[in-house]
Amino acid sequence: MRALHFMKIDYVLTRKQMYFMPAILVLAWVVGTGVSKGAMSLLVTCSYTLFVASIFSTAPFGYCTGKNKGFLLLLPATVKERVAGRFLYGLSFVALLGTLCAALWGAYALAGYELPLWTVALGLCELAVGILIMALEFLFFYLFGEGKGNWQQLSNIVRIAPGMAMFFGMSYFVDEIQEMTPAGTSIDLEAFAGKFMQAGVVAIVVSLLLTVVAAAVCVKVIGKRDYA
Amino acid sequence: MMELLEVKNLSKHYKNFDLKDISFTLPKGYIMGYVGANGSGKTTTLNLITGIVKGTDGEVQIDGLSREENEQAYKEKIGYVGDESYFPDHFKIKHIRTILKDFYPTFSADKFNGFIRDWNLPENKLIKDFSRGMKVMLMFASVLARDTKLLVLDEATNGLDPVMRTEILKLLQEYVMDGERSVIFSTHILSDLEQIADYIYFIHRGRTVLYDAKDELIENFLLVKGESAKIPPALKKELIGMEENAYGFEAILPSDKAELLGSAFLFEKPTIDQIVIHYIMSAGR
Amino acid sequence: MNIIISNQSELPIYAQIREQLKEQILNGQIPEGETLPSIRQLAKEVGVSVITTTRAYSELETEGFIATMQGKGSVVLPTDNNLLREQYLLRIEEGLSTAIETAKTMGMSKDELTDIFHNLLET
Repeated sequence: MRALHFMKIDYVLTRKQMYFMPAILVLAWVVGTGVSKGAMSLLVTCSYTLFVASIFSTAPFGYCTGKNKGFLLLLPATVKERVAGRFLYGLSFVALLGTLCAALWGAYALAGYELPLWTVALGLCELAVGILIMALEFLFFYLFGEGKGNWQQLSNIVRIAPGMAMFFGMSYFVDEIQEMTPAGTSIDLEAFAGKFMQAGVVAIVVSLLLTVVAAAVCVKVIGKRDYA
Repeated sequence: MMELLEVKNLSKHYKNFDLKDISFTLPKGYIMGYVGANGSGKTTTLNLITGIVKGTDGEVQIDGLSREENEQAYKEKIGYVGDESYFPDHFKIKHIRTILKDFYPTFSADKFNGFIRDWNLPENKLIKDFSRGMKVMLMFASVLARDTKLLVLDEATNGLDPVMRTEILKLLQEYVMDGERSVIFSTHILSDLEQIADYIYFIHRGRTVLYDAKDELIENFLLVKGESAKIPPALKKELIGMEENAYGFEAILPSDKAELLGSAFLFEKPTIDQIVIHYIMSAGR
Repeated sequence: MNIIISNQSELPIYAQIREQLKEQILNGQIPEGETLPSIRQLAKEVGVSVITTTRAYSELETEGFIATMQGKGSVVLPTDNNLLREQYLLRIEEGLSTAIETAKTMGMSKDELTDIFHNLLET
């Protein structure tokens, strides 16, 4: 219960950034449609959205430093509950953007676009990678902090690089697929769609498990620290 | 259980500072002043008590409970006010109210709102735009609106105007009024806080210097003034923190050495601040 | 009752409280049988520590001016007139002693001093 309250605190801490989330989603859609069309464009849009999510989900770490932290540290709770709250914030944030992507997917389907199942499976994999990136970033920020000077630049790289890699990777992949499949023809990925779906679901489950492991490591390590 | 706060051999090791063997008890219904120069370890001690910082050694019990036994219950007993606002800068009062409500079962929104009204704290401003006095009063409101056993104040009245200081003095005395709750406050200068303190704990460079009931402490020392040239060697040995100027000296002397004074010197009862200052002079900063 | 604390006074605060209460009990300003405010109440009103007021009360108790009963608070006891007399006598002696000592330091004769004393009595 208190973990949920800590999650709520993180949303209050970062409430300002919620205001421009809609704009970012629109941007993601524009980027997607710029690269490709239909289901392919959705893959790019989703990877861009998750890229943004991986950056913004780490925001509470930046708001929670030094003197401003005292009030939160004094709240009657254990380190476990604090860390759990922070990871719940990260997960729910990624899930929120993931849901918006799913909604976009649904809207395309209703609009009559053809959405092969294997692209949906790939979308699930993207979500899994998004969760994993969030968990690793949280692990990094808990263990090493925000840092100052050069160190802060490193933490900014940590904040941006993995999501960016995923986004560019996906854009490259979509490009390649398009080159391999000139208009009108289609490669037979759909034959493996069932396997792809299974892989997607497994990827999500594994990423969630790894998130729990990351959270447990954080509790273990910072539990002994001061100001934790 | 008469003791509200028990601190036993509390120690904290840092790279370039050591807090060592802090031990005291504070009975229910009393106020303790924790005094020392800047950097003497006051904040470290209070942070160890609130549990924000973890001790290298020793233990702390509040109302018979240690943090290790039950962190949540332990922290609920504490109300902490620091020298600077510890709220996130871009929070408003409503955000703090929600968090307090979520986390503290004994939080009373009515009481809280009462303080906000009485002290004219602005509901719609960000906390970073509050004046220093407002920030301090908001900390007090957030603490006094719930049921706590121990108030921990770290230099909370620094830089406040005298009217506010007087108000806080009254608040503290009201807090211990029922004889069940206690206050520990740290400060580098006691001044008006001296009168309400029952006990004084004085540390210097992380070590205990003096610890006693305030009235005893004042009686145990004399503030001596006079001409430096007239000081006999036997007296000179006993004087603590002698401060000389062109026209005379001032020092602290244990009262049981009063017979060494004769009639050549002026002596009077010291304030705790004077005792502390002369001790620090004798020990070196 | 009135209590005024002076930081300039050489008397410790608990003694100031004790003396002022004693005086008011002796001159009847605080009548016999009256309940004094509780130790904590007084500490808060006067703005001094609880230990300080506790000491003032316990000394008044040993001197027989008040009695503290569990749950009923501290009650003013009947003052014995002899005690009152004794207290005033003590104060007169103190006052006169200071005058005599001052006279001695300036080398005033016994007669001169008694003259001043008589003159003052006349006025």
